[in-house]
Amino acid sequence: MADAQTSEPIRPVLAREPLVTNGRSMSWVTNKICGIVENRQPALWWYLFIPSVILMGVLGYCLAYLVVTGVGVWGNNHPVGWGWAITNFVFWIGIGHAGTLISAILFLTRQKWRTSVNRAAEAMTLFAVICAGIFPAIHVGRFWMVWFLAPVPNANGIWQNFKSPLLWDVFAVSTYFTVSVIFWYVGLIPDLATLRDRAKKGIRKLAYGFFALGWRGANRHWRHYEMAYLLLAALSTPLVLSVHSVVSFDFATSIVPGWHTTIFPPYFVAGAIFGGFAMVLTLMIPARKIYGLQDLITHKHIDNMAKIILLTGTIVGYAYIMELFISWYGGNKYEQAAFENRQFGYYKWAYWAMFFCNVISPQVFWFKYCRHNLWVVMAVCMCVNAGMWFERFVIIVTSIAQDFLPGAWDFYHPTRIEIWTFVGTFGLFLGLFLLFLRFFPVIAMSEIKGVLPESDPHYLPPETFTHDAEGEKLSHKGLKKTAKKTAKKTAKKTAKKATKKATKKATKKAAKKKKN
Amino acid sequence: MSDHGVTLTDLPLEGERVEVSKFSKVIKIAGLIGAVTLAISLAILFLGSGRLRESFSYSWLFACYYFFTIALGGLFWVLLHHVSNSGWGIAVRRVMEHLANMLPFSFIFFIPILILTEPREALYEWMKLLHTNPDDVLLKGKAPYLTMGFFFFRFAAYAISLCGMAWLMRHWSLSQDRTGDVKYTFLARRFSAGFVPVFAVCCTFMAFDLLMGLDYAWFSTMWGVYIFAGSALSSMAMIILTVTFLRSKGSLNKVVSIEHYHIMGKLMFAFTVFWAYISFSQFFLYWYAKITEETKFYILRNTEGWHYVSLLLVFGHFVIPFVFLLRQQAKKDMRQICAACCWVLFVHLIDIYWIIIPERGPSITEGDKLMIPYGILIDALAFIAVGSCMIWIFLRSIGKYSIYPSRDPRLLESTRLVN
Repeated sequence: MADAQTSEPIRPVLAREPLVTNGRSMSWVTNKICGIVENRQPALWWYLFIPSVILMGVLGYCLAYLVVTGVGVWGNNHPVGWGWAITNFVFWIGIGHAGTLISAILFLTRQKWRTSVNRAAEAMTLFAVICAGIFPAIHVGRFWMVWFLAPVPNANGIWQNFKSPLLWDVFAVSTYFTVSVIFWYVGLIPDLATLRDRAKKGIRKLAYGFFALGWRGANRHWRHYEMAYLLLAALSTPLVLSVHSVVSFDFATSIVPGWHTTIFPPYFVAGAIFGGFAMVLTLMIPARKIYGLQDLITHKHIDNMAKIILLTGTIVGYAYIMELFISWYGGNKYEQAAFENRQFGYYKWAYWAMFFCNVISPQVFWFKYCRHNLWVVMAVCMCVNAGMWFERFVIIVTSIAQDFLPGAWDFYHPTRIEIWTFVGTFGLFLGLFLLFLRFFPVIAMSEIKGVLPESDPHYLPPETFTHDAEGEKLSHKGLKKTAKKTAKKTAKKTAKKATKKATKKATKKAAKKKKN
Repeated sequence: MSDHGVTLTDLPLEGERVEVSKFSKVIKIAGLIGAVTLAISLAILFLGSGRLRESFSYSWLFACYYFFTIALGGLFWVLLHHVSNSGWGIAVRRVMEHLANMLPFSFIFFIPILILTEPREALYEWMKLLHTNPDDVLLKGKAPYLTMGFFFFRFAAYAISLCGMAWLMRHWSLSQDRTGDVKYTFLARRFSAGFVPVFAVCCTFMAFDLLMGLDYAWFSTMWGVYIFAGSALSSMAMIILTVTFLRSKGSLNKVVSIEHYHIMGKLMFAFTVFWAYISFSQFFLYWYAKITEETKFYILRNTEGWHYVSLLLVFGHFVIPFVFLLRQQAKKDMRQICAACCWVLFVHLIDIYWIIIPERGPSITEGDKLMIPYGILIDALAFIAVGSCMIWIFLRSIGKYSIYPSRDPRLLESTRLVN
């Protein structure tokens, strides 16, 4: 390279930000991730788990009370037949979208940063779909008749209305759940085998051994595994789009003003990804801190997810504005009235809360400072979580509370039972997630090892790059020096720690001896 | 899996110029055909009268919009490339940039049908109603939006913003070729992030004004996304074809490999599905709800001969390319992918035709006839005129600069692409 000799590089080569920082090795990754499962959980885990279990109990009580007493315990009334139950269903099913997006679409598009967050996001997807599934099941009124949702032959010869989007929902959601479980499980197999190999005691070894399906890491295993994973990714990609599109059809195929608009399917999908990513960050930022995973879930990962939130939030904003524009441009009086009611009617607080949380608040992510400040990221994610719930509330309640006949209008407000049912699902969600952290490898070890620089056969030596990922010029002499310095520092630190430990041990021993 | 072993020393600093002389014949022929057909077209538009002139304005809009969508898609791919900090496509990015810079020319082609009163009133009924029946209830309701002044203002705004973005993106890229400064990469990334929303708004409202406005009573919130999906798809097909054409003339061979084709094929596949998803959703929701003012768009296009065109779209625009592009081999084999690209460009043509031309018969004959008998001939004339002029301009612009960004800091990443 003749250019290297001159001081000014005339042909720059930009580096990429590393996906694992601090040059962590493969064994470090294994020890770190397996350690979470193998060691005792930190006290905080219990402080979170116990309230979650209590909330699960509350959920159980509310559901039992509902089934025993009847849907009269809810605030649903004549025009508002859907109320909170369906709002919560759509909310939770939306949360369940980021997992499959990360695991399937980002896999197909070769976005390697997904490896740090895909496992947890997929697990979160499953738990969110479980929470979502509760609501339509109890909303049917007679819970014991819920099997009527499935097209099974019955004595009365009654079949479902196959033209109804509500029935398609049953198919879409159950397909989504099944495929997501399989996808998640297939991805887990190599890591379960690692846990099995490290397990010392009987039950642990047996359980991980059973679920690892005899994985030995053979070449043939990997070949089949990778093909299966690719095919499952390709199969789940349309599901990311289809589930929420079908959910949107529940509304958009009707002629209710405010529901019937053609942009609903992509708008719902964008909204679901938006809400899902916010929830992933809500869970992963604390988890990263608690378990010390900062080298695996780096600022780069959070930055990327914040950008996706900004993008999808802006798409959602585009959809809101399109809806408003076309409701006016279309010239349909009912449609215009529906949007006027949303913005200036009884529920205007919900509309403006939604607009602020979903469209305005993510705009701070235009600034790098905000994407890198975890408090800001958490605050925006909380806004988005709330905003996405409000969105569904606005769509459902405002449109049907004031429908075509003013004489039939009625105000809807939830009862305590409804509120506690919803709060209870958070307990279920969080409790399941905490159990996941306790028993499963939270980050896909085998995949993250695949994105380490040493596993890249086309690895470029660091001298190739003239600039780092931020565009700062690299001086390789300086690099070597700083590397040496940091190595010295860390060596000093570890030495200090070791001496501290040694002195502690010595003092303890001395104390014991004294006691004796 | 192939490491081509291309290093930066293999690639000259000043990049690689396409030798235009190798295809000067094509340029000449395109220019000749373009000049003749353009002269006839302009004669009809400016000097013609009556039904021929009115019919031809539809043909002209169809031809202009078709080529406009391809250029628009080029801009989308450039913006997407920068905003996502991609590395794979540096080798083909200059082609995208050139394609995006066809936007100014495509805007110029629109001008005759917008400044001449008779053609524009034949196309957009509301413009005529503004002075024949200003008390029309529907029109009054849309008054602030559908007025001549605001219409022209918007058109100018689209033109300035889209052309400006395309120009800036190529300008920075070319500046980097000269200086090799990384700041241009970051400049382009930052600005393209801000440009994406502007692009979305322009793409949507341009489609509202020029296509949805053909029937001012009809509306759909999905319309902008629908037009965008077709644009991105056809543009990717055009990029692949251009790259192949240049490779056949001996350019780009060092930097572009079959891996690039694989990725571009995958993107084309993705957008085939996306188009189908969007167009199906739009159709399905209107079909299901059966509201008269909404279904009219589809009723017209499912009547008599148009019904077959609609079916052709279902199979040609979705089923056939979907099945064909599903296989990996189809995306990695140059002949197969090029065949797919030609097909995609053809069905996109049918799509734009199907959007614009069915409005012509009922509108010009006041509901008397569905189709104009000689319609297809003048449509072909307009298409050839605009098309060959576009090809003439495009091929000439290609030779002016290096055909890949020779000092882009991610060039090495792109040439060493492994899928």
